[in-house]
Amino acid sequence: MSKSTNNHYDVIVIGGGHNGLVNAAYLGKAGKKVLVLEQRHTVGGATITEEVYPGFKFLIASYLISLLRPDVIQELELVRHGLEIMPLESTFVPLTNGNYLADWPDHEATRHEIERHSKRDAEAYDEYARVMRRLAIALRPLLDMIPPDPTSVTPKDLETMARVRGVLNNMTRDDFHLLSRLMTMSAADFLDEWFEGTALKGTKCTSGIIGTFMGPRSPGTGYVLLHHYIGELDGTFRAWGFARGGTGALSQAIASAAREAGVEIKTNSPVAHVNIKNGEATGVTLENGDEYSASIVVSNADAKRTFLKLIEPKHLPDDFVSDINRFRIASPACKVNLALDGLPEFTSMPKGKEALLRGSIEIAPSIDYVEQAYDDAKYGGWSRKPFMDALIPSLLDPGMAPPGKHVMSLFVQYASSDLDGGWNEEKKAQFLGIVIDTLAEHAPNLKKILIHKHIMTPWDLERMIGLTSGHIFHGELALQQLFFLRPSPQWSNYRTPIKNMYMCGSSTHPGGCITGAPGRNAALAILEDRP
Amino acid sequence: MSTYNTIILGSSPNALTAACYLARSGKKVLVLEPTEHIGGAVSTNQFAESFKADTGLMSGRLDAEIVKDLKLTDHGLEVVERSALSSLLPGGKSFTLSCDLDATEKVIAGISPADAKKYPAFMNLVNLASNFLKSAYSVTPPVNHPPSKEDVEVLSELSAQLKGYGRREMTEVMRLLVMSVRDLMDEWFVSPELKGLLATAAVRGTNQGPFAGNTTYNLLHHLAQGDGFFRATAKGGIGALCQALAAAAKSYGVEIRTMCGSLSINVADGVATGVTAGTESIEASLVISDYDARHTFTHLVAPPELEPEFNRAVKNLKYRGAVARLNFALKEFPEFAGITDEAMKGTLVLAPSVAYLEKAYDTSKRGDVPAQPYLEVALPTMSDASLAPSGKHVMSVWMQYAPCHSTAKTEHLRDLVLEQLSEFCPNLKSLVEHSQVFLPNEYESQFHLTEGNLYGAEISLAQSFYLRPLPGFAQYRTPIAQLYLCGSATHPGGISGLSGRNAARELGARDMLPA
Repeated sequence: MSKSTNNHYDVIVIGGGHNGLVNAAYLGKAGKKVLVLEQRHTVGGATITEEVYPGFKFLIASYLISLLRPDVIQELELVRHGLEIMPLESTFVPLTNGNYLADWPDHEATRHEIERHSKRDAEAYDEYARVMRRLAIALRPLLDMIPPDPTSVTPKDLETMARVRGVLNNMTRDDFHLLSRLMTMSAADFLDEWFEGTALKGTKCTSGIIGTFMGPRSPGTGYVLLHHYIGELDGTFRAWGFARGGTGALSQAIASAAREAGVEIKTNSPVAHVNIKNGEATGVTLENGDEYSASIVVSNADAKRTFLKLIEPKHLPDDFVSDINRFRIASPACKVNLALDGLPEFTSMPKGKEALLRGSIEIAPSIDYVEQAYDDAKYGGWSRKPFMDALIPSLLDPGMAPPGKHVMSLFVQYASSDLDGGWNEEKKAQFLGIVIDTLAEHAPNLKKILIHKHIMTPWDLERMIGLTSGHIFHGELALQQLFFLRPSPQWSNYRTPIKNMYMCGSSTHPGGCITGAPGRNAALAILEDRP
Repeated sequence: MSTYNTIILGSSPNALTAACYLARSGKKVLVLEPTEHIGGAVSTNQFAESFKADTGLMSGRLDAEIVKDLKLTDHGLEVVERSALSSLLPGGKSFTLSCDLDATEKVIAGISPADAKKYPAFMNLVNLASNFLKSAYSVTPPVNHPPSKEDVEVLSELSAQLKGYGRREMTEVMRLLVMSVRDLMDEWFVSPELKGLLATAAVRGTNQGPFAGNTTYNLLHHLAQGDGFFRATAKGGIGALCQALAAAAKSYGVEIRTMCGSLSINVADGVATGVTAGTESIEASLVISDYDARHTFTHLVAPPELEPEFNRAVKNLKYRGAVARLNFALKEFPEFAGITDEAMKGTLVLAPSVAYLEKAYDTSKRGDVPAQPYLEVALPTMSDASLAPSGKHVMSVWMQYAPCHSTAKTEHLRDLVLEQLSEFCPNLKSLVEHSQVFLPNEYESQFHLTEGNLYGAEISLAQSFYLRPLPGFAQYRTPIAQLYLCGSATHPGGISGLSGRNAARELGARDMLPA
């Protein structure tokens, strides 16, 4: 039986993921009485650090902070609330022929390293970096914008459309043409135009496929490449890297900012459904029957979970339901964490350069390797040799593992969320075995130092965190579901067909990664409606 | 030494369309074709004693305005509709769609009642989108960024058309342009067979698979050219398009020379001054290349004439021809199980699912020919008996993928195609009297189609509109003064003649029907 609580809130945020917390903090700061309801025992959603084995802190979902909006860091004073981001100093790409490729923030050092592989690439690299930087700077303002509806003629939409045109018109013609091409090309084609080195293109193309169920040769991955490049760009504000304590520490910092702004956060409070009366959201009912009423309900859950599970379709227009049904959310990404009794020894690691272990370690020796990994998985399978982006957090923050021990975080693609016959424990173990075998080919001592291993497949990300299909970006970053089309045409401005109901998760513009942008933009939209 | 006002290199439908409009506006036009066939690869030629077949593209339709404007019917053009589209399925089964919406709904209902219900709305949406493209294809893309006043006028008219569709339809059309055809099919239909069949037009002519982003654009492109699901050719074969255009051109005073010798463009101080054909140098105040941009700017013009930046852009163009074409001379009518005579007048397709197409592409992207290829089959003799001796037939096959740098041999392709089709026509092999196989490298060596791409450059969103043929040069001009492009390499691409017509308009051709 449901029991009503007496408390009425201005705003209830369903889900305490990083965007839900950002949204709540902004609304709290604006004077609203806000309640965040989180299903799990801790806030963060996919932005969490978990001590799965005593003493070993695992990044079981997100692992790096790359696109967190500088505005969010400053406006919520996240540094004061404990956020400390440590930049990753390097990328190390072990190759199959015993060689390696590395890069550092030091442009000259990287240039020399690229020159070791190809003199021509070293020359092209400067120009490539300049061009990507220009395009990213040009496009960046769109991330922090509430998307306009191009079909609308309201003064506000017309004004926003004019701002979008302004952003594009500020570019030179050459840059605009290049942007048009990059947005519609494959990452592989784009990189082929610049570079000849197999390893360099291998590592660069991975920015085009992270979290994306496409191969680097698929048009559309050029956009994803740029999307992630904007993150590197904001690295100049020291917003790119590893958060001390793991990504969970970021969630704790945002939660702390939110609490300071008067936000109430209830964990272990899974929402069963949104209460709707006469087409208006009036609050939520928890799975335990508790009811909370509010003037505004915001969902941090992905669009499919929000509109196909938390709300009955009868409350929604047919077109909208079909938009949400067709929203592409199949996911190829897994997270693996390893507890290690020592450091992995990569056969291709040059003597004296062991500091490279403190950065990213990428298993992506060529575009062909990554494309093959995609091909293995795209019909409902998994990569026989997966692409991996690895990191040893305990080298950056010794608190992540017991003394002398280490943790290693591996972002792994591809393993289909729609696995043939479905996922189960046995298949999880099988794929985890493939991941470890693949890594051990490059670091033969791995199995000797392995204490614990842990995998989060798309199945686990869905079961544990509630991400539909385990999609880390709450839906593919495909062009047909970006900007004013995300998650649905006409409903890209964080509002929904239900009055007083909003969205603030990564299913909305500008999509995934730990950006805080959907949470912040949604708060701005809400405050436009309810100052 | 003879002097012409305008010389056009190449004789595709675009070249001839441009020739007609320019000659009609008073220019003295010479068309130079190095091969013996008007149209180059767009021609229908004898490949065995008394058997004639298309050399390159095996379907295509001239833009209706051009047909009317140039009175091509009077010049012998007789359009042949291929208004049926059949899918050949494993186990020798099949189904046939046609232009008749009601009949097609019934056919689809036999496969999936849900899909049958959605089919009319699907066709309506893709037609809205392709009609929008058609409008965009009839104008020269904007030149300036930010757009000038004139550019804004062109863009406003296009956006007004889009807005006129209604709010919902407007965004639906915009989505289509950037979607993978796999996503499009999954959004609309459940039957793998129907999805496979309808997806083919989205990968036709490209070395991309249906899972790739933006492939729906390729589908809409073919639809906008009248060469989407239900195709057309002409009596006499695809070469008859060029024959009719050539007749019209001659009536306007155009001179056409075939076997003119190898071509190069004479440039002095950054200005095109004429053409060398074989040993003859011919002056002209205007030179127009119908060839693709790579061939034009690396073979017809010496690269040192051009800036390094421009040469780099030319080098970056994507061609990746992946089509093999096969023609078979058959001593009897090939009986395809379950395919009616009416359906035999249309196109038969082997692509039983979207995954089938993607798997064929998986092999191709690694440079090899798939063991299970995507095939399109037409029997032009069903509509035009003159193409073969009485009672005999010509069967044309379009095969993907045959990537341009693969080492596959023609015999292998021929055997592979016959083997695949024998499942549906068991005695096919015994009917073959002669065969002809074109691989991409042959199109390149014989017709100067770079990497054997039959469309003058990959048809893709990244090489369309203001980016076609090259960013900054979508107005048919080139960095060399008095040198223009008019071929399928330019906006919009294809053999509808629109590229040639737009180029002619840029060159001041008058007396056109309004775009």
